[in-house]
Amino acid sequence: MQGKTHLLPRTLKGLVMLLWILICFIMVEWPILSWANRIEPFIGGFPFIYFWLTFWYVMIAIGAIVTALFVWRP
Amino acid sequence: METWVTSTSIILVYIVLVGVLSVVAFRKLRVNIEDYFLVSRLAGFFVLYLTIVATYHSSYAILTSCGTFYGTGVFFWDAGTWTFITGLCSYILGYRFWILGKKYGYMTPSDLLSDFYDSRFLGFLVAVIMAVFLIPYIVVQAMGLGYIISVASEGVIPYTYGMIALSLFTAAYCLVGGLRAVYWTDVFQGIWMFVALWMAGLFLAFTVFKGGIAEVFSILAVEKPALLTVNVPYTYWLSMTFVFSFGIVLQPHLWVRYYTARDPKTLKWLGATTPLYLMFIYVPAALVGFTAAAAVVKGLMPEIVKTYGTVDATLPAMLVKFAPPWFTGILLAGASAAAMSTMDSQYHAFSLVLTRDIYQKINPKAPDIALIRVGRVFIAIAFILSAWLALYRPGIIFDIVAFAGAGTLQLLPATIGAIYPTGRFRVTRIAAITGIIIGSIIVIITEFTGRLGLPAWLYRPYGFHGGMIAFLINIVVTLIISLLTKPPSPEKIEKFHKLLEEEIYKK
Repeated sequence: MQGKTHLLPRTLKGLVMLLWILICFIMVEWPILSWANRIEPFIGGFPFIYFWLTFWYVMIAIGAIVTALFVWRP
Repeated sequence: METWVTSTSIILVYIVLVGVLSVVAFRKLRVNIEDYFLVSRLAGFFVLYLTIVATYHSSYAILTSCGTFYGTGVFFWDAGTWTFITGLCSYILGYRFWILGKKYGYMTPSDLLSDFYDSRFLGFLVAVIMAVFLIPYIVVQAMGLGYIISVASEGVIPYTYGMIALSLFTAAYCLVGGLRAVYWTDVFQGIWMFVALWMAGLFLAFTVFKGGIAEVFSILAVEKPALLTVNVPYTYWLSMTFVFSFGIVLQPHLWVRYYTARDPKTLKWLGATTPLYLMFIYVPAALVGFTAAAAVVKGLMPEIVKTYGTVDATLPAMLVKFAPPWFTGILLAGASAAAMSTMDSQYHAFSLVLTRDIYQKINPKAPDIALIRVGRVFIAIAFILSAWLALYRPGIIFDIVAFAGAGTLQLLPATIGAIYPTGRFRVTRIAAITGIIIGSIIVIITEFTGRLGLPAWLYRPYGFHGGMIAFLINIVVTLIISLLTKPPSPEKIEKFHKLLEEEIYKK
């Protein structure tokens, strides 16, 4: 069987959600992380890096639910 | 009544409740290996959700998370990256394991990999690696239980006695009731540990300092600013993302759970929603750890490592110092739940892998009742081995879990080759075996080089964890050898990849 690869999405919605999750992941890794790695400004009482990481984790969690609703089968 | 008696008694009550649940599960057990080891593949969303999160989150999640926030600071919030990948794995890996497991009756990781690569040796190798890297992870749970009881009882019950007694109790209920007992107790423990850690985090953050967490951060920003930035190499941060996600998911106690799902929708929604639990249990852990650091700075609390010998004692030490005894008991019972819910699954997985992949291969005609008996013997062996090693406290929990995850991470290239069709490229048998062996050897060498006190560039080059270096070399070796050796037969490709194509894209 010389089938299609399963490593890449086959629909536009799948591609969009993959990009969403990849962008969120990039935001919490080097080199973006080295820029965000600072205490100030405090946001909502939290150091900047803590807020930054938490924000992107929430974005990923939302992305996972949206992906399950519109992309993943069954 | 002395305060330690109250808190320790509440932990004891919790243990009795777990015991009752496991006895009920035992009464439901059928004399059938698939029921004993895989609850007849009928686990629904609610039960599977709680057993996966409770199994993933161990004493590491409760004790080490608080301790690492206390000792190393924001670095531990890297946990968000590895927990969301872990959650997604329920779908991106788990669904494929489930399809193949249901169709071909697989019960262990070795069943799947040895079938695809058509190699009994590979099956044996995978079983041995899983058992070897599972033992240190069981040791971690035993150590966690020892710390909890020792600190909760204010040293009246020594670490050794607490560790042995609770490990023995966990082995006993796992041995009697099989995976059904593990699942039922995990549901109870999964709820308790989440609620307990949130209660502990909120209570401590708003009791120790009147200004709450904002005051804690403002104290640390002045007195200990290093805790509020990532103070490890970014390569180490990336390494941990892989080691604690794929590395832990590929451990047998989690892999086997995906076989037990009732239907694919269960796995899909697990993939979407387990990141929420897995990730947000670390928010209160940060509250505890940072509050502890600020309390030490302000002289409200003695330095934890100097007083208790390890950062892993941060949560129990804070509760004993600041919370009423009854509340401490309830919350530390939650911490015990985290350790026991993982430990029972690990005893069970250790037993399953050795019974199914080694004993049953030697005695293929053994009846189910004999396999269950042998499985129980392996649980007893796991208890003895892990309790003996835990007596020596071989390091802090974080490092031991990283070692265990690094070992099983080496199975990822071979696993992806089996369950992900990749166009014309095929991972071959020789490549899979070579990659796993080379990767595992590098993990072991880097771990022990580190323990010998040799220069860091030898075992942590450019800041990467040894497990990540091993994984990258493993990928290169697997790719190169795959291009040079004979691919799996067309029948195997048809059997695996055609089935996955039909089930995932055509139904």
